[in-house]
Amino acid sequence: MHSRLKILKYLIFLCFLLIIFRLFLIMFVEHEVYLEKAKIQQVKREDIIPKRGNIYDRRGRELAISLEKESLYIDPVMIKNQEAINNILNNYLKVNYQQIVNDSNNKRFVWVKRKMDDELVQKIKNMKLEGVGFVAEHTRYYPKGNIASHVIGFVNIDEEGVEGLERLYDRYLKAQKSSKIVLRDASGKKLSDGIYPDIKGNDIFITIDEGLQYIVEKHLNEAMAKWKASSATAIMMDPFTGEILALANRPTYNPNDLKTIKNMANVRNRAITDLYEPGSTFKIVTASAALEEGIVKTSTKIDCSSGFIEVGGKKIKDVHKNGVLSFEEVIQKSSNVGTIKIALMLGKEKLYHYIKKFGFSEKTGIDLPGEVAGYLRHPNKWSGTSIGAVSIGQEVGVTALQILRAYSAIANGGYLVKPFVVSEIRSPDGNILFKAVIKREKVLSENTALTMREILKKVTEEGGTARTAKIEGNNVAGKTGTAQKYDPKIKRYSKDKFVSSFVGFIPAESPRIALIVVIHDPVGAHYGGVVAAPVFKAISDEALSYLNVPRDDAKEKGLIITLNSENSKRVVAVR
Amino acid sequence: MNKICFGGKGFYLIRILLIFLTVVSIFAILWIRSNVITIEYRLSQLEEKKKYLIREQKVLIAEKSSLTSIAKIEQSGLAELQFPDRNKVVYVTKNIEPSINKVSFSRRD
Repeated sequence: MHSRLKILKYLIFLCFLLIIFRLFLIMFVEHEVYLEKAKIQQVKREDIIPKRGNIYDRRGRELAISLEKESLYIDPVMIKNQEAINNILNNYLKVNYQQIVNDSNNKRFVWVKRKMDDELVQKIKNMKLEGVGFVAEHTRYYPKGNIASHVIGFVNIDEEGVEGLERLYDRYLKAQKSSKIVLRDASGKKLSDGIYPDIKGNDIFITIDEGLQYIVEKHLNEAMAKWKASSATAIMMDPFTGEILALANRPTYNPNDLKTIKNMANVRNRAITDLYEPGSTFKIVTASAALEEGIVKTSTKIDCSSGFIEVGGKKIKDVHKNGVLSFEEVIQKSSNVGTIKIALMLGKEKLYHYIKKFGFSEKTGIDLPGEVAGYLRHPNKWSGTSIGAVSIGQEVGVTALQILRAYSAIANGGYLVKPFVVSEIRSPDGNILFKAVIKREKVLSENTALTMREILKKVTEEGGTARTAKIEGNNVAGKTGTAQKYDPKIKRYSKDKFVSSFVGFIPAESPRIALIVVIHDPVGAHYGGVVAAPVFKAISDEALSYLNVPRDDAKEKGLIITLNSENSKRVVAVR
Repeated sequence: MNKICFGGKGFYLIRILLIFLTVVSIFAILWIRSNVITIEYRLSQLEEKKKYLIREQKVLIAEKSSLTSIAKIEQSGLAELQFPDRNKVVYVTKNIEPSINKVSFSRRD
């Protein structure tokens, strides 16, 4: 009995020895092999989905943000019940399973539907289908809908900028892909992977103000409906800094629903990509040049009584016969004859020089994609009629932004400013990576700017062409423009296609905003004073209230209370 | 001085104690290890929950931003964008004279 117990003891001891030996082999000799196997089974590298930076307006309101959505993929090899999957995909997603598999070229990862609705994701997840999986992705969302869509732009399905700021600042907005190590148990259940911060692109702060943008877009919509126009543009800018406060085009699109875009032309930012002949709004270049060169004074009389002028064998007429006009009346009444006579006094070289000085036929340098330079021929290539045509805004192609910039130069005392949209770029941790710098160039003397301002004020007063732009409480300085469109079919100016515009700044004496409204092909009327000036008035009226700009007579009416140190203390004491 | 006698009662007790300690230690290690794993599972669940909540937060921010857009407020008919009569608005400024008759690049405020 004793010897049998001994044998059993030795056997157990031997077993333990074997186990220890095997453990030794596993833990020391074959350590590396098993470590690799364990790693493959337990450790998995997972992508951290980079999040695109946000776009905010000048008051920090979100204009573009990224949300997480799940996308559905299939692994055809893992799918056993193909018919069931086909039915589900067909019913819920309206896609044909067989078609997807055929197109996949034997790949084991095939996208079925990307960025799906959360409800649908949950429904399909609950079915626990083999060979069907989900990947989290970010999707761009524009909470304000089509507000400022031409400025912000949009991204494609892979979150790459396609239009607008999304395109131009893509490298700042998008973040670099990264990954993390995830531990899983034998059943594939995830263990804690620690705290990984979001990988996010930089945030962009723009100069657009949602409130002003809405005001502009609302009135542009009304104008489009009223005049059955083919397109329209409005830009609002701070004339001193070049900050774009609002920019809108019609037709427009909703960046959240790109499928509804019927025509890709709707995506175009017409304010900077479309050229038009500015007509009378261009006369300020001729007038400013003449004043700057000392060729005329405000009181200089110009005979416009014939009602037409012949330049290079071509008759150019005034809308109404005006008689003898002073220089300022030429602009106030928008006389073609008077302006051409001034241009003839100036000469084509000087006129060309000032057109260039005002920044025409050059890009403004705005930080939006697709800007065009404009069209202006060198005086060597001008025909006999060109000096007449160019001085009244024909034979030149400009963008609405170029015209607005020229008027801003008059508003701010003679400086040509560089317009911009992005004011700041901040990293996710709040560091400022970029801050816009105001760029300006002196193009006119302050005296000329001041004189031109006074003349432009008269345009909206009694006897001017744009009394409809006059605003209760503040002086408006501006100019109407009515230009016939060139019809390439008949190779001459069309008789029923016009560009109606109004551009100006307000309050005239201390401008807060410069604004241009351009309406293409209005039906029923075509004069800038009838079509565009009322839109200018409606926009500026609300914009001044929005910006808390007092009336010009606010001080006399006692509407401005200035707190000095004494009465401010009193206010504090009363509190 | 007492000596431990091999095969005696004291030695037997020490042996039992050593075996007991070894077993307890093994169980303690296993228990701690299993607790760590349990905590990791719990942490993993909490992290998932946190991710979900962050996602929800983003959705809510988007919704708030969309609902507070001026266009939406006006379109929904809740309010009309109306500005007050500027004849009745009083502007309170601090030691700043409004520079009305000035055309200059220097900014007014």
